[in-house]
Amino acid sequence: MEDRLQIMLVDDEEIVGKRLKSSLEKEGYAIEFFLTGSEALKRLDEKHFDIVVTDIRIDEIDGLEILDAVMENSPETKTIMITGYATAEIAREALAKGAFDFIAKPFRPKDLREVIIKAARQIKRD
Amino acid sequence: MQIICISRGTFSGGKKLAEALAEKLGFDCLAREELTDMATASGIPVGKLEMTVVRRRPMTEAMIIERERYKAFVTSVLCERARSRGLVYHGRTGHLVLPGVTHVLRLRAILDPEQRVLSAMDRLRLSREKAQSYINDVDEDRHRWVRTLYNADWKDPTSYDLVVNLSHMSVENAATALVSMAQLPEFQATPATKQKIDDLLLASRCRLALGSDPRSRDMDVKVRSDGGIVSVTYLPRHEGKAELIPEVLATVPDVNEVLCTMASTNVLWIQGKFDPQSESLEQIVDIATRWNAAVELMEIKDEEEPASPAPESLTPEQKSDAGFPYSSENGGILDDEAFDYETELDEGLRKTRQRLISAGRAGGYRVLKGCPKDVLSSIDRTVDYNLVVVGDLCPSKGSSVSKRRTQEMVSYLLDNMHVPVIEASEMKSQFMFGPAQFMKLLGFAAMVVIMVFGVMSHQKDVLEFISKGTCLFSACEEVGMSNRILSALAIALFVPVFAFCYGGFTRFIFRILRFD
Amino acid sequence: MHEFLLGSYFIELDWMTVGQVILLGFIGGTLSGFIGSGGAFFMTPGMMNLGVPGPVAVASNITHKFGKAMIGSREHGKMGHVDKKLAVFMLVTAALGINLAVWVMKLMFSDAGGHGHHSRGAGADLYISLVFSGVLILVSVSMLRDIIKSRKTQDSTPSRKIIDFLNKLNLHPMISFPVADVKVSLWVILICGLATGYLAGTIGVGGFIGVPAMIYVFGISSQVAAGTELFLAMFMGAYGALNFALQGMVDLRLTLMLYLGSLVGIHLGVYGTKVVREVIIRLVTSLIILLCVISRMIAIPVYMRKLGYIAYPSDLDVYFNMGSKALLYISGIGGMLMILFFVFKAYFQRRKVSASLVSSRQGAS
Repeated sequence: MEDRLQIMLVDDEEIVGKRLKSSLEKEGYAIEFFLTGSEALKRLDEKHFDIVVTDIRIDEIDGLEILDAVMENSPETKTIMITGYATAEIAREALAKGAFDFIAKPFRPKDLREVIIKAARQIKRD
Repeated sequence: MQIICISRGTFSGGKKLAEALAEKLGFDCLAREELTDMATASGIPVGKLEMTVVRRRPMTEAMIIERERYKAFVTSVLCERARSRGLVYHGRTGHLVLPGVTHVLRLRAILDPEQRVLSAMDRLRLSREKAQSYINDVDEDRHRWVRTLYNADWKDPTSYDLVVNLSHMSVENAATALVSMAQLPEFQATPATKQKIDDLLLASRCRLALGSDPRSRDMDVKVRSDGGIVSVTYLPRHEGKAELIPEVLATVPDVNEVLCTMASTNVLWIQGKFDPQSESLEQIVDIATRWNAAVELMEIKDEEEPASPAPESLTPEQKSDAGFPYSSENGGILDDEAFDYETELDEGLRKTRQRLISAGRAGGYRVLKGCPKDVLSSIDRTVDYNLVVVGDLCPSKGSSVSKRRTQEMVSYLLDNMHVPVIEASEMKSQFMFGPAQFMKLLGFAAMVVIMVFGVMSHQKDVLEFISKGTCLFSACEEVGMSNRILSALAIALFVPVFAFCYGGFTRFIFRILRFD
Repeated sequence: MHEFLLGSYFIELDWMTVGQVILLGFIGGTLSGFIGSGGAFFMTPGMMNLGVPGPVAVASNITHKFGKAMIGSREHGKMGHVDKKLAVFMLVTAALGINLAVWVMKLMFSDAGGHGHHSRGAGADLYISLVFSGVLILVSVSMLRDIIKSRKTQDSTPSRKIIDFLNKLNLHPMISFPVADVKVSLWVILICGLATGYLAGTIGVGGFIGVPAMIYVFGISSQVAAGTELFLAMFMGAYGALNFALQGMVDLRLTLMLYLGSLVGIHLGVYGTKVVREVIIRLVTSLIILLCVISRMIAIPVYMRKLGYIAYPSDLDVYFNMGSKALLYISGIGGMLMILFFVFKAYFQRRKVSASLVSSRQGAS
């Protein structure tokens, strides 16, 4: 396996993916971006990711289902949830189900980078 | 039209209850989730606000502005919906969104904790332990949310008309029972409450207009409306942008007049009838000028004994009648009056307001009738009040009744508001400087001078007394413990007395210099 | 009179000294009104510089603080800013902390016994100076860091890292405090109370630790923290004052002189907090603390030389001591002048009355 951190990014907006991808790749992470939940789930079966960053509201399969799949198949993967429509209930649900952290839109790429660094540190410790 | 607000915990059955009730009454049903989605879509970062609360972050200045925009958004949506049709809203804070609208039926739905845990386990597919902590966390989040937004206690049962426990009652049956409660006269709209809703709607629209205009976006402003007259208070640091406010609000329909006041704090003046010639007015203007405060007026109308009509006197025609009388014998008159005084101010209030405007200290006004509890519920608890002044409450009823009512109001507000509340007659002694204060000042000064000179001219004796009986000198054994205790007690008494006297003296001096 | 006063615990007061003590009180009062706590950190060393022996300076100061806290906490109590339940918990643990501090001090004295009479005091002084510098550097640097950070992100509120961490741990039993509206683990209160008491007992500045601890660790709003701290200070001050008075160490004259200055200063300081922006308040506070710490650190080599840890010609002591004193005065007087500048600027600005803007649109719908 490469020593670069493997990160999966799921969001139904192309622009979000583009902006975050370029910002994170600059930091030396390997990023794969998916527009839909089903594509993301398929890819999760094939490959191990260290960190999954997913929007909660995406079509058909939502972020919480991706979280469930991740927790089932590779519980050591850290999942970071992002959403503009965050409510306390959803945040708590995601955290109870094992999400690593939660970021509310609008946020700066810097904020996401900070959370990813925290997650990476945790991965090393584990 | 009728408004029913159901406050619910997570997995407490409140949502189902709201839906069932709305269906039975033929009302619209609005969930908090729809509302937050609408708010987010309109550009208010509700998610960020929620996360601030979830993560227990203190509110930053930017977040406080977003909070005000969100509150305005919620108010405007609820008012708009409720104007056309009956509305059942279910969420966290529906019962607090419409302060002063007395006909809102405020319900709280609760459920046995065990059942909540079970349904959380079932629906979220969580282990028992996780479901339990999920529910605890969400409850705590909601508690903080209500504190942050409205500075109120979510769990306080007295802020609801009824708490519905769904543990032993089916949602269906509870809804059936609530239908008849919803038909009680207390929960029907009156012209007064309609006017109130119009005012809240206008104020919230103005707040939203200010919040969405990029030029005034970052201003921390409070907006109130009274019959088309919009009062805006802004902080001194936004002074440069103040001219923008009337300009932005010119785009909002139904605004008759805009009144902007710079204020770093607020004074609330509650009184039965305002008299522009009174001494209190000049005193308040003086205090407000010193403190850089805006004065908000609240006129309390005399209220007949709030006897609600007996239920059997209800006829279906009356129920549907929007202007349902408040009390059976003279209710119609009261209602007409209620309608009138909102649109046409009485002379005293108008002139008092004019005086405040010319002094640059006006902070809006409102007219209500009711008891201390009503007053409290119509006060925005997130406004930073520095002082509440209570004047004569029922001048028409003779001095003894009026005095008793006034004192009741003072002590009730004092217990519940955590700000200084005083009677108007005390204002002079508390904040002004008159002959009586001059005498006190002299008294304090005399005490201070006597004490200082007493100690300084008898330094040797004082020091001997202090150190007598201690081992500073060889005389240790000669004088006993009792002397030591005596001198310690003397010091412990003397020092606070001196601090009190000198503290009083300096306080008066600074009052004369207007440094407070 | 002369013989009685000199050579014992009490100094002679002439008009110069009286004036200086009042000035010390004024500066201390201004700082404490503005910062919310402290003042003792300036007044005690200041009095010692006037020739007042250390214990008498501390005793007179504590007595002065006791009366001041009594008046202050009454005002805060009226506003509902005092969480009495929290105060009781803090009080009990802080009392333990003070006793611990006294015990440690005694231990230090007996340990350093071998170095002769002079070094005994120096050992304690070194220890006090080290604790003082260490703790206050931490406080001021973290405050400065917060300010610099907030410059970028535009928010001016205390960081919540510690609170978040403790929330995650969720150590039982949790105790809820209704007035302050927080839930805090008993263990956390125990540790903070002990630390506050320990530092109050060692360096005499409890409020400096207590208030930030309540804000940063418990997550209480700053008003309630200040009110509760004053309530605490009243009891701790009363306890201290009675104890010192029993030993005959309270110089009542000095206490009165301190009041004459400090109560005037407090008014100005408190007025300042109302008119000055929060960021500036914290900037001034952290700068003053930092300067005080540096002043204390300059004195450290003197103690170390006395203990024989380092060697340099003893006539240099004078310069270290002078530098230390000078810096202390610079920080206190400079801080006071800064505060007074803000206060008077705001005071005269406010005089310009601004009228309400009225715009009317009669007849429009």
